[in-house]
Amino acid sequence: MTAHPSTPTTAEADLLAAASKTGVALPTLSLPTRRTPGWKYADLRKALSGHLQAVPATIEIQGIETQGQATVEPQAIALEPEATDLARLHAALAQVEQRIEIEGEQELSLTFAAPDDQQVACGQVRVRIAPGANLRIRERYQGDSDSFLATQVIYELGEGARLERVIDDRLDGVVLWARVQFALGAKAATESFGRMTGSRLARHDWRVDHRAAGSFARFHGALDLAGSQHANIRLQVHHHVAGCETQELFKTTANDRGHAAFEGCVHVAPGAVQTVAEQAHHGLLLSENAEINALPELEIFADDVICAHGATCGALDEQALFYAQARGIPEAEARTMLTAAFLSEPFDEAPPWIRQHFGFEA
Amino acid sequence: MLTISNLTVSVDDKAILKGLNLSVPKGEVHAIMGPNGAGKSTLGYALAGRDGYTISADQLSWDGDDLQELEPHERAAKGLFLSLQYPVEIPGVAALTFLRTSVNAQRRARGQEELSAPEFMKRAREAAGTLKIPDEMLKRPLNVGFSGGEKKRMEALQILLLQPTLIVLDETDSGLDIDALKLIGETINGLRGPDKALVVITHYPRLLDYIRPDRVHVLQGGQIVTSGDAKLALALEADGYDSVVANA
Repeated sequence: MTAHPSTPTTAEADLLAAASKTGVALPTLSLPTRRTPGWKYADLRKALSGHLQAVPATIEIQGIETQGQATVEPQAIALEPEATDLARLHAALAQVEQRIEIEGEQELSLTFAAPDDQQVACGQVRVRIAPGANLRIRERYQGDSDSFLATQVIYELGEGARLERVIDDRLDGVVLWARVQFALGAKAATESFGRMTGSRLARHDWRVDHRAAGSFARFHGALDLAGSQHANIRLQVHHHVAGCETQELFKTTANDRGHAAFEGCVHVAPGAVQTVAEQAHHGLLLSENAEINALPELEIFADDVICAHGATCGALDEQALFYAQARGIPEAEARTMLTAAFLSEPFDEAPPWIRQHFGFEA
Repeated sequence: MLTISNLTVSVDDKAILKGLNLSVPKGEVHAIMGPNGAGKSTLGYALAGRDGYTISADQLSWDGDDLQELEPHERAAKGLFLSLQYPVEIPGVAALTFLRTSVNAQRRARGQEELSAPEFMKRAREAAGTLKIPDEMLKRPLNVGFSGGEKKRMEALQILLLQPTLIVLDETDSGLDIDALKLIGETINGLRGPDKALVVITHYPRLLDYIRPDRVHVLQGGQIVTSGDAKLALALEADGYDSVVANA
């Protein structure tokens, strides 16, 4: 059930006014709250208060051409009929999407920068990877203003295409709503490896559609939250057809008053037999006031599938801590070492360039 | 000299050690033997300074330093090494990384310069060679997936690299086959020296076939109830704890 607050907030009124200037009129806008389905761990209404001025998003696209071609062109945004008010608002404020066509082998970095204080910026990018093409991409979110950054990246992978993706965030104070969609063609493969430190409110909405047989998706991430940083990852994977695979492994540490929430759902449609889907989240609470929520879910409507999910949460292993100290390592150094070790596992299977990106030995 | 005088240790208000006295001079090897639940492992943890143990003692010192005043890592830097019965698995930390971090942390604490990566690697490879530890094992996460014997060899490697002066071995023989026991025994015998003291905590006298103790102490009910030379270990094996303690 969607909550409809009786009095619109200043932020809601500002956003509606900005949207109406673009010709998209939304009669009302209720920003999601904890009571809005799917938004339990990201109270956008509460986070966005005060005046917001809409400005164009700053999207930096840097490419290193190795072989083949990459082109970037602005295009009008096409909205799906079932788009929510929030999605319509985002489209209205973004106005256009940057469309990137990838052929051959490409390496790109895509950086979304938060606007100034009390501003909202919306940006959208669509990346089309041609059949058989390969893309390595660094997707970054950065800024330290009291602002709202809403982004959407849509990856469309043709048959046999490959996408290797790094997600990095450097955020403080920013309210982030980052949507990413993956449409996977036959035998397409994508691997995402992220290290995130959250923000005042950081919401990552990822949706994956396995649309043709033989596609593969891996999502591995490490969340390291301290202070009052917040991160909410919502990963929805849809297996529409037979013979596709999804692997998910997330590890989270929360210190001080850090709050992380991982919501992962794998839907296996009727007929999507021989699906393989594994989902795991492991949390480490490093302070009494930190909070970690993990909701791994499976919705299976097909027989003959291999699906598993699991979640654990606990404190640092006292025995390991003592062992390190007994070998001469001071407590603070031992804690740092053990925490870093805990967060390293999602990168064990990363391609060498991604391991190097995150400072591991290739 | 390790001096333990009137040591009492309790965990969750339950008294485990009840006025234990023990002196181990440098250059000697002492064995602590005792039945299950006697408090043998507690003695090792109390010496190393593990959290959760309530300790009081008239004296608990090594080489003139009051151990009670020191944190576990400071005790290690003063030369104390406790080898655990079940060495801890640390996923995500390569054995070499752990070893180098330990060695350099202790060197820093002692005011020595840290070892460079090449110098450390040279020493690590040399020590690993004597223990028949392959390079590949050094790159794996510490103790993860290691067999019982491999874990104990990794403990022995740490001893060779850290060069401790007070070595406490807690049930080092558990989980070892005969060949591994012999190798560990030889390594430990090689460590004997005028500036080192060894405390060998064991359940069975088997390890003492390889490490000849100067003194044997029987720990029962939280106290040392009898002591003797190496022959005491043989008597324990022949007659059992109850009989030997009753005749003491």
